[in-house]
Amino acid sequence: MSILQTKNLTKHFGSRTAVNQLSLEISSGQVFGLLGPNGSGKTTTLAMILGVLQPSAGEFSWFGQQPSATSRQKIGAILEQPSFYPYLTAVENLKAVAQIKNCSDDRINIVLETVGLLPRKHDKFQTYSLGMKQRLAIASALLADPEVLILDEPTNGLDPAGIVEIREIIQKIADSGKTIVLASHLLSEVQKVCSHFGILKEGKLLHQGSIQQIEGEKITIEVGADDMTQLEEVLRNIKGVLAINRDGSFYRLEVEHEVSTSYIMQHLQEHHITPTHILRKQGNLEQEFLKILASHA
Amino acid sequence: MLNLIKLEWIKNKSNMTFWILLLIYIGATYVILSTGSILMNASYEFTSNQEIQDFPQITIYEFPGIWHNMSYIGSFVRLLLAVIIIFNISNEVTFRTLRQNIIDGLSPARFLVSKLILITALATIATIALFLISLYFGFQYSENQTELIFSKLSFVGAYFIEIFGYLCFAMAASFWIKKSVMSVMFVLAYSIIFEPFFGWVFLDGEGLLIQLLPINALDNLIQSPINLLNPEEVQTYISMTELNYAVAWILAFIGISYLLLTKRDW
Repeated sequence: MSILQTKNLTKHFGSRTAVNQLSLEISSGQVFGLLGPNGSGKTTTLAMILGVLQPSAGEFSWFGQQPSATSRQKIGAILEQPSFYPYLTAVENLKAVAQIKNCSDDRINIVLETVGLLPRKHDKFQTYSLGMKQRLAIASALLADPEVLILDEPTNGLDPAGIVEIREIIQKIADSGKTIVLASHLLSEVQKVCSHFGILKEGKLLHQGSIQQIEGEKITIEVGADDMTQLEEVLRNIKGVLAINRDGSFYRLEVEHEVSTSYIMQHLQEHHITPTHILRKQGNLEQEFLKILASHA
Repeated sequence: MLNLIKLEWIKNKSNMTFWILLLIYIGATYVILSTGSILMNASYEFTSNQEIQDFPQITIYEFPGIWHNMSYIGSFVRLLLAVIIIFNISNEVTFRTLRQNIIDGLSPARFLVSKLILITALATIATIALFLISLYFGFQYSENQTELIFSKLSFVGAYFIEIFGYLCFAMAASFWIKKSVMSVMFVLAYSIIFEPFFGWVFLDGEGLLIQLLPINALDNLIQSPINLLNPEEVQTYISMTELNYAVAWILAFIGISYLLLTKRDW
């Protein structure tokens, strides 16, 4: 079932075109990553489909119907920074959201528990740290138990622990079968949680596909050692290694499907090399992303 | 509808600024309405110290004229009430909660209705405050305590419409300007300087066009209870014509707010 469909969606700001004829389709159950560099039109796109920016041209539909306030009640969304009434507590803020979404207050404690804010629920929003504000925003998006969740840079400005926490929450929600649209410029984040992705650049959709497609494409193994020259020599002579590329402190090997890390290790040990880093990756969104961006430069 | 009343209540009930501003407004209403007693005391002093006995008695708190006098004087402090609306709406813009409300599924039209609910509540509180304070001064000073007491209550009804309209004006200005301090400046400067100046300089101080100016249209609902030159011309009832102008502007302010809310990017 189609959840969201956009057709030639366009937004001009003066002479600048922020979103250019964007046509996109997101189906039920997908975890869709909207990728793109800063300023590529991700937030503008989301703001249009959420009713706060008027499209200059084009149209979109939610759940196969004309978009309306009622359809937005079935969507949980956060756009850019968390926006709440600073002088109200978390509970009071969520009560206001519940009135708008026309849902009961019963889930307030449940969603605050999900994001780990229960102990601070009676504190005013203005006393929260950035990470807590982000988590309250996610709680608010989850409040009405929506069919679709839209998250715009949900880990922006968080420390590493916070990023992991938020990612785990998103993963949990994704596993429950909900449709999620995740806008981000962090590729690893998208690759970790998304099933599908689209790439935006200067307001244009360059590519739309599934993560599996990329991951099925090719297998890479990253290997690093103290003596990189010796390492390269050895790697060149291993069967099944198709290409060797230097990437910072390690080599990225393109290998055949049967090649495993233990197979590589075996060879290295024969030459008395102890790897400092070894990792097998199936596909790499980052490389794919850069390739797609480069081909449209 | 009930949802929107609850929503507006949740938004304001824990906001200390809101309650403090409301108390200041009610206090200011009391102070401005009590100025009549100062005048009365002064004139009493004046007449008792001297031999003049035909000095006109100040009958500002006399029933039922009190309703006209008080509703005229009471509106001097209406800006303090407008500040509440201006802060409320510009906060929704600067905190981006208006944007989030729309994202969460509140249509701009319903958002507008929720603000009209707040305006209605504030105008009702202002009217009740005026009514009770006037009643207090009336029982205190009026010699006329007969059944005529409530005969000019239509002025209090007009007071409600005037305050409601002024708050709608402040709301439209806030949606337009977005920033609280700028909006307060605009509402203040427009209503006490620019519109009167425009009227006097460009429209020669009289005529239909002046009556049609928004603040004037609201002010004309309750005209000055004192006319020294022509005491006969003092307003005795609320005219339908003035009421129509005022209601037309109220609808215009609501319409402007609706257009700004729906056509703008938030």
